[in-house]
Amino acid sequence: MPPMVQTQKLCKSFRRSDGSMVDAVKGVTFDIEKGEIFSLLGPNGAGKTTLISMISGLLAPTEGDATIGGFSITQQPIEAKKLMGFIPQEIALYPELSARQNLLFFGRMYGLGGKELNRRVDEVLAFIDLADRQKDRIDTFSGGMKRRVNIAVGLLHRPQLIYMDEPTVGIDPQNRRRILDTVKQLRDQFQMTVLYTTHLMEEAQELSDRVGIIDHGEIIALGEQGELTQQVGEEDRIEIGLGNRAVPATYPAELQAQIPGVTRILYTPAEQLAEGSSQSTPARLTAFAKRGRTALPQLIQVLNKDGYEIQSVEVREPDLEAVFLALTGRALRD
Amino acid sequence: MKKIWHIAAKELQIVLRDRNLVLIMFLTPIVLATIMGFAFGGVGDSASSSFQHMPVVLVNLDTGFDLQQQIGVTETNLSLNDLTFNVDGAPTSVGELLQANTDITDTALNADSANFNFGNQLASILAATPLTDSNGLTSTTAFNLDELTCPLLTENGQENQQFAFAGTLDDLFDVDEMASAEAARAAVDRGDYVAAVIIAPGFSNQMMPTFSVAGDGGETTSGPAGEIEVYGSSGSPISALIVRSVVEGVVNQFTRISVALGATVDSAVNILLRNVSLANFDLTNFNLADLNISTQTLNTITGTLQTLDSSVLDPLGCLLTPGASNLHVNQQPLDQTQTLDAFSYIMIVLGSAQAVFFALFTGIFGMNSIYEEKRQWTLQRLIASPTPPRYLLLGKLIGNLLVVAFQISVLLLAFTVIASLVRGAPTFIYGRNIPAFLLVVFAIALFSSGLGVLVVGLFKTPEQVQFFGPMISATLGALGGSFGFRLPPAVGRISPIYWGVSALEKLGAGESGLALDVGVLLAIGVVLFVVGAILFRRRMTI
Repeated sequence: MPPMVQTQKLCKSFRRSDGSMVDAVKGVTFDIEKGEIFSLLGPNGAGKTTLISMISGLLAPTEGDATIGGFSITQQPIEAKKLMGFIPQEIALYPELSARQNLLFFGRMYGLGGKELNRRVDEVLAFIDLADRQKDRIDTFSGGMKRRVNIAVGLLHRPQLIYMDEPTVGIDPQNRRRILDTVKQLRDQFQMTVLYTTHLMEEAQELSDRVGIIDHGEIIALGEQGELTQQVGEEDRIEIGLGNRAVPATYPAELQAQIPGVTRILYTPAEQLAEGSSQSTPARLTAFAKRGRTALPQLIQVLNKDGYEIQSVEVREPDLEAVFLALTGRALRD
Repeated sequence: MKKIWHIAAKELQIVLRDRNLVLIMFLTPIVLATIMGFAFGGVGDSASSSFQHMPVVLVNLDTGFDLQQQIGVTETNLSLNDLTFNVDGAPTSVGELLQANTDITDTALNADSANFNFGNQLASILAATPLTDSNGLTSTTAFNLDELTCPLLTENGQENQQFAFAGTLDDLFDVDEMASAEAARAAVDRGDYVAAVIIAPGFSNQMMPTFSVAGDGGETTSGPAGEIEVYGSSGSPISALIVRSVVEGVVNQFTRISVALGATVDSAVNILLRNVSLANFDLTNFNLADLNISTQTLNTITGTLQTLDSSVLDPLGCLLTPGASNLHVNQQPLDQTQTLDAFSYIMIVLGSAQAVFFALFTGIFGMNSIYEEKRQWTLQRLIASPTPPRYLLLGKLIGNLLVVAFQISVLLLAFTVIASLVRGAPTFIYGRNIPAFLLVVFAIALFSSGLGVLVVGLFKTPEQVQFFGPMISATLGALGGSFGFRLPPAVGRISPIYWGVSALEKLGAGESGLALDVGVLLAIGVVLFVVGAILFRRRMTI
């Protein structure tokens, strides 16, 4: 069975305002099989949206190509787009129009019409549980309700491939849970292929059949979750939050040498949450050990002895974030 | 192709559901135009100050009318005093008989002085100066404007009060005289005068009644036809309308006098000459009693001739009586609108200008919404749909055109309704020619939308459009007369608003000469649209 999505050496370069070029996506090649949920995981600015914009026909690749269901997005864009449902991160709806009017309009853009269109609109409104609010303007909806309508637009024409770009950004846990369930339902109930981008490791872990990790415009890891975590071994990860006190560059290595069983220690300095903000994330030490819970008391003891204030401690099993950390030396949130 | 219309319809749908946009697009121009209408349209007390001392140029080419020539005595160059016959055995002149039985004066019967010149009369009324050069019957009494009673010129006039102007014609017009019609028209074109009143050489002949002379089987008609031309400045349409109304009113009154005079004189002279004819010109056997001219008839003749000047004064109170056929109005589309009130005129002129002006804003900011579509990702969603990019572009362009056309239509309809409400009767201020109306609306919408496409295509950011767009609109508005004043036509024509307003004014006047206005708008609109669309394509990408 041919893959639903195939990318071949996709590249995208942008010209900066100073005239220099920046490569946002660098020769990305991967496949997405039919009926699977494929998550593209990476920090902000890694190139996820640029990559997906090329696959969905929003941006022309500088080099390379992608096919959707066998149709080239550059040579046969209309045929390729017919197979794809587009659910962007933004609420891509007309706020002045009602939920139903938005659905009718975008349905017509996908070639639907007449009774068929009305029937599909009724179906998706029921699916997102907003049939009773269908005549209300979008700008009267809550954030979560808007997200659901945003998703409904992408599902209206029953596409074979759904592209969802960080659909849970900025919504409450209840609506987030509903969306994650919906994604699984699309695969399990409607056999749709889902291309899901996120920077939240938990979402990728929960949803994905396969994961592609992207950083600096390149796919640095690709495969099932188990395969990826094996890449970093079976080590536990001990996260220790420190205060704002700076840690010398040589300190992680000195610390590692004092504690048996610890294979590596990485230091992440404190980071301001936003420019001009007084709030910041604390500095962290991340220690990898075969048995994290055994190494933890010794770690705390040494840090106390060296005068560091410990603000938080967490021991985690091997996960995608550990994979990202192991591959890049940075946390996913960076 | 359906997708294009769906996109266009969506644009209109969004506009109608956006309260702020509706407020700016529809309510603001309606309120502005209505306020201007009340301010300048004569409903408020301050109206008169806007229409004082309007510069008017007068060209009087009228050569007058020889009464005696018309009653057939010119060949012998005789006055009625020279026509004698025996009465009770004694030779008696017709003049003596008339004077003995009526109040008619000797002067009135003199061939040299029996010359009417309505042109002089009209000139003296417009210039608000008494006639000093005595020339026949009409100059025996000079006009005294203090005695002029006219609803047009009084504050408390009744049904014909049009402008609520409290003053005299001296306050209303500043009249200069010229000898050449061409020079006068050129002066109006330059903007020196709001109108030129050109009295043709045969005006008095045109005005005088036709006298039939039954006695000798012949018939003498009036001389060569002459018209009055009111050559108005399209830069001052309301002032030109007022000039025309006053001129028309005066001429209309002349017409009334002419009809009355014709009826009485024709009757009397026919009776007189028939009897003379029946007597085979044997005037020795002629007896006044056989004339069958009643004293009342003679008194009517005498009274009409003798008191012509004063009788003109009171009827001038009906200056706006419609129906005079002696006027030819050049350039100004005033044929039908002259029956409207000042408020309606304002709504036509300023309302049209406001409608076109606000349409420019809609055209520009409607296209600028492409940036909003990008920001909220609806454009990206459309691009990701299986819709060809050219459909998206055309849909957006046609949608904007549709919105602008809808806006103009609604505004003009609203102005019509407001004018009707103020007037108290249905008033189609933009005429009843629906196809022509739609054509003009389309032409204005094409231009306005085309300008929007070009501006948004030309400037790189929405901020630039928001800065330069209003500047461009305001400049075109000022040139085209959207702010309550009009620049000379030579300057105003630079702005397509001028052509739009001109077309709408002509519609209101029921004129058919729209080709130039509509042609200019369509031509500019097409050019803007095509060039703009090429540039605008860049805005349709991510």
